[in-house]
Amino acid sequence: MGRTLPSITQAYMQEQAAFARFRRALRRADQLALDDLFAAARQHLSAAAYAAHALPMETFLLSMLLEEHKEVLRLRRELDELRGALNA
Amino acid sequence: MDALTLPLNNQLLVMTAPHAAVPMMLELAARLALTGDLRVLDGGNRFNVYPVARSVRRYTAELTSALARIHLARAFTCYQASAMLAEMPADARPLLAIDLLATFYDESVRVDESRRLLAGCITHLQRLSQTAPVVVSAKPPAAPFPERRVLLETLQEAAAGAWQLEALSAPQSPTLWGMEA
Amino acid sequence: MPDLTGWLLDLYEEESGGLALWLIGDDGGRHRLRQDFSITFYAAGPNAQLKALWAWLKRHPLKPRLSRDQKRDILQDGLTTVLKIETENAFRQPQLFQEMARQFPELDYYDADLGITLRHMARFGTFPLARCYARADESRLVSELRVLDSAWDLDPPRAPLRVLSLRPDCDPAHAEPQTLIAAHEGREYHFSLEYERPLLINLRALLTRLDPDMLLTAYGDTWLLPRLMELGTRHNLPLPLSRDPQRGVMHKKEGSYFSYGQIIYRGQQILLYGRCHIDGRNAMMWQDYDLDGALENARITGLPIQTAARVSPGTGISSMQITTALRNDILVPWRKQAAEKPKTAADLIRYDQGGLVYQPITGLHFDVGMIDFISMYPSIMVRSNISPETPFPDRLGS
Repeated sequence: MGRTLPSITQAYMQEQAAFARFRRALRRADQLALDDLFAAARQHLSAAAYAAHALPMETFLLSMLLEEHKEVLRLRRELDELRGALNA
Repeated sequence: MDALTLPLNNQLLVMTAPHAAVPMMLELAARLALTGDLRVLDGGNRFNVYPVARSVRRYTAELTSALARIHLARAFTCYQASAMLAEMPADARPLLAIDLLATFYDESVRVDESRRLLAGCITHLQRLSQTAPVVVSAKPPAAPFPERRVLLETLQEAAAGAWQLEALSAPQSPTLWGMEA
Repeated sequence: MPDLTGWLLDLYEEESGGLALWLIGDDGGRHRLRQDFSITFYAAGPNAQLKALWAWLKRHPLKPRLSRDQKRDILQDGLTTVLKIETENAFRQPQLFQEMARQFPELDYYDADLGITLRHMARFGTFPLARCYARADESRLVSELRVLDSAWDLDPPRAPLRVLSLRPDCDPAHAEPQTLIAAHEGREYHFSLEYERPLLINLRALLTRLDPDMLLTAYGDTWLLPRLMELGTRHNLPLPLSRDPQRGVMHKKEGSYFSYGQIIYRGQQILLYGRCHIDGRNAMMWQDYDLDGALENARITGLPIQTAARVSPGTGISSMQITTALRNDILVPWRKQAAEKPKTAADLIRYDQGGLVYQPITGLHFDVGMIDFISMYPSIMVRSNISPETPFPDRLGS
């Protein structure tokens, strides 16, 4: 009865807001890249909620890393396909 | 923590601030949890565990055990707050009462009834402060209810130490030529 | 008078004692009956204070019946010794209790401020729009009352409610309304608000002719009815808003209250006797529930229809807990003072997870299949007995 914890979305927005000064000091292109990282973390908010971690930022960082690694894997596959096509 | 220095003495301290000094109380909870158990009475449903966890983590990697030392209970009515303090055993665990007066400002409880209950609460806060530090935070009543101000004043008078934290006013930007606008 | 069957529309305390009951008869009539009904409540605490209370009550003009009893308080071990206080005057009982509580604030009180419909439900099994059989004498005093259906019936026979809706032509907060629009069974009547006497005369005629069971309004609590009542007083043409000629209307003042860390504002309310007034703009769940939902809510919670439409589902659940306690002879404490058991901050994080909702993969998808569960959440709640009042194990996972 009554809120006990902020929702994971609120926690996410608070963490994002905590980096507002850092973001402001970045160049424009870097700001866009940072926004992409946070957007990546946003895709896994429900898992972060389920993880019930005392420090949700660590889960958000892991989510960012997860998305980065997925992109690396995708690029690797694409590269292999291109190599295969070239060698054929 | 500029206003309070740790370790705290066994006494009743009251902090008054526009938003019941919640960030300060959470920081205090984190610091106290590093070294021992503590009790938190949340009078306004303001306790947020995440800032406490972040603060604890700055000092120790033993996050879970520190958080396990914080014993939290919420009061949703002034009667619950009163009952909780009456039933609380006096021991060495510090007590933090966050936004204690929130439920006492409830319009549906008559002012004289709130005063009566608060008097009982203060008796128990003083009892508990014999064996452990007790820090209470409170905010002033909303503007349409000046008659409730007496509750805050009563609490402040009962304390061994009382702090009033003012809201920071917006800084005045200097004009381009250094002249008054 | 002949025996009656019909639907129970309203019941409330009569100033002279006992209750007034309104039945929508199977004969199409609207019948006002009386019923004797005593109120019992309790006080507990130190013996000396109970003795002082006994002496005080003995001198009270209401002359309540007093006795000692032992009852069960669910939050205490064993039985609690209580002073039992009974009065036949349900109307004056709240005032008696308020005076007592002021004189003896340190005592604990039970069953003291319960709604009359909840008490009646606990004793007779009645609920709003219950099908009832009533036997009454020539003075309309009920000697027998039986409920013929259950609040939990899925498809109860619908009461033939006469509904009149009233709304101004615009939001009074945005502009001064010019016209009052009344509607009944598909017909609309437009009354100019500029010409006050004709407005009142026409409205009186409409109310008298239609004799509605329900008045559904927009801004009725906060603007429309107060305005009409003020006009009625000014022109000496009072509107028969309540069906009961002996009662006016009940004003509940606006106010704000503190709930789970929030201040919530509640506008003033105008409640009627023998008739139900629901202001769609001041009814908490009206947008979601509409009239059918409000009536269903009233049936199962036992709250009067006018109240059920305005309050939160939480209040409805509390009402059901109260009637269950009354039926099981368990004391209902006056003040909510049972506090939360302390939990550690670590437990707070661990147990406040909520459900897991997968997020969709953003993008354009083809050949999409959809699986939908009918009433998934209600089914889970029923199957797993998940509900606010379900007792919890001591530790999750045990």
